[in-house]
Amino acid sequence: MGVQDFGFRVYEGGRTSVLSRILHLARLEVGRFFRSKKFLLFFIFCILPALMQFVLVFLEFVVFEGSGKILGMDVPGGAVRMHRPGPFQSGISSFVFYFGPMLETGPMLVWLYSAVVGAGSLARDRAENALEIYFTRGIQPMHYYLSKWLAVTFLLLCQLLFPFLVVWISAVFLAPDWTLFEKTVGYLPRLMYGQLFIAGTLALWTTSLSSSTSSPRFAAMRWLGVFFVFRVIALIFYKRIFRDSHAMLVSPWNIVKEAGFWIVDEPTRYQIQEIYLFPVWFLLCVAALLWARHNLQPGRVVA
Amino acid sequence: MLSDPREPTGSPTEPLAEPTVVLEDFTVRYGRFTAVDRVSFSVPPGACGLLGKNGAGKSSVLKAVLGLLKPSSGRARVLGFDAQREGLRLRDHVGYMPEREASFPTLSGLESVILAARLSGLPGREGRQRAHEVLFLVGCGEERYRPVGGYSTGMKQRIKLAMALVHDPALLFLDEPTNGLDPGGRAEILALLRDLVDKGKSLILSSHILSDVEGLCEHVVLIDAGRILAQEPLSTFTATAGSALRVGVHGDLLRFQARLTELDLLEKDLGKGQFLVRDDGEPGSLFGVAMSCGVQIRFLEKDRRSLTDVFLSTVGKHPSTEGGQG
Repeated sequence: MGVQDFGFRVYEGGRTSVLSRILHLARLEVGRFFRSKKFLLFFIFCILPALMQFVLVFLEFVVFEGSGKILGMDVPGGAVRMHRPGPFQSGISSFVFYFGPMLETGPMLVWLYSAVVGAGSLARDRAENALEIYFTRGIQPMHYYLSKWLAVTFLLLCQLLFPFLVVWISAVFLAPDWTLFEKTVGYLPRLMYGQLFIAGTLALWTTSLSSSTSSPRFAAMRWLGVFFVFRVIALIFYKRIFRDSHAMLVSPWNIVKEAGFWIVDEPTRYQIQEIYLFPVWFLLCVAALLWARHNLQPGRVVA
Repeated sequence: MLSDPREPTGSPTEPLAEPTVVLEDFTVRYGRFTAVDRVSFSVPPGACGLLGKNGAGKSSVLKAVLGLLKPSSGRARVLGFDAQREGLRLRDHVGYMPEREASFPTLSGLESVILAARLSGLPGREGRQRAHEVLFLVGCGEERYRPVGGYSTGMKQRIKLAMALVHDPALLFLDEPTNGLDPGGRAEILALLRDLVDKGKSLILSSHILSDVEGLCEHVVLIDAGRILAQEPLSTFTATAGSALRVGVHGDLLRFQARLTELDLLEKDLGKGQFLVRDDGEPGSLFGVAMSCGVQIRFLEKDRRSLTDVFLSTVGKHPSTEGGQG
């Protein structure tokens, strides 16, 4: 068996940039999920709030031909929760209709989805010894982590943002005139950076938490456990002990959600002051990065 | 544009003149445990065997030269790159085949090799094309389209080798490359590696199968308890300590044997007309004996022991620490 017989060639071309390698790895991670039929079914389940919004849009503009408000579809009175109406009670022309459903009514779905797409991302590679392949190539642990973060952020945007963009586009085209478009087109940048902030933060935390274990299931359970337990503790502090909304700073989910609403300039549910909110958010992000850095040292993982 | 002087140059048939790997006073510690202790060696171009018992420090050396471990002291230069400061660029020019099963079970063999190519800096189309080529090279046919998770151990080894080769590295680090291969597959892979060496590639082979090392490598580095015991050409390493010759004769064997005994030259009768005789530094005297006995000398060569014999005798002399980092 000769080398030349099989056309083994000397490679004389240039090398691609590190960014191109990072993007390739991120694309591969995203593709790994979306080619699984099981994951597609799970994904559809996880975007149910968006599907419900689509149904509302359809009812408003096709079934009721714009009379949905008169028929009681868009009556916020009585449905006011805390300081503002919930996303399903707000009108199709309101910002919260597109921004809020997943965060307000479907947090469990976000937790579950982020656990599946994020919490297992690094743990799976550890379990398969794939890190040994990555770190002995032309990328560094930092690049590897960045690629995973990008992939998980994109996957989270597939749940938090893209379905609602589809809902918005559908609403614009089903509406009888361009009034809805004119009223809502200004929401798009806020919707995008708000959800990007939330998806990016969740991706950062979940991938970091995933870096310390070789069991994707354990990583996912730990992620869900962290969200659930700290939220319960925060609620107990808030409702039973301190009776102060700042007690919700104990819950990572509430931190990211409140910060998300704050940066899109919408009223937040617990009205936590930003002077407390963002330092805690920042500390959690730094801790997550340090945790990932500690667990992704080549000497530790390429053992 | 001026080319980088450290970029491997020359045609594939011209071996690199400089040593591929140079370690200077290199020490690696894991906490209090010293895995590699002030090691200095240089590996010439070609195939080099890295030998040692489990826990001798072989894997630590490999990881250190790939820039994955920070040495406590000393430095490593590989293909002219500083392994610590230029690890990223270095790894574009070396291929590494790990001993452990390291794969992407949900990806196909082809996708795995393409991924390896892309991570080593090959553009998309070139990466795909080369992936197909090296998969043919390592003997992977239509299986390449199946997920790696369903592969046999031997096929996984081939995929790992393809991943190490796809970006045309100047230097290959192979950790137990023939593990899990059947005899035919093993011979094929060894022939392929031999071909690569002939085409100017350098490789460092860490293996417990000493016959693989013996058949492939021109140079060996023997490491034990984090220290270098020997580093020399294989021919020197396996030569008997300058004292014996193996001679094959045809004719009156009994008379020849008696004469050798009489002159105190005979060390051992190896049977079938072969004798191990003491090398007194004057082969002419042996020809004189043969002539006087009327026998014909068919061959005369320096006696060589097998690599296994040398390995066992050398490592046996040096008590090592078991259970450390490999």
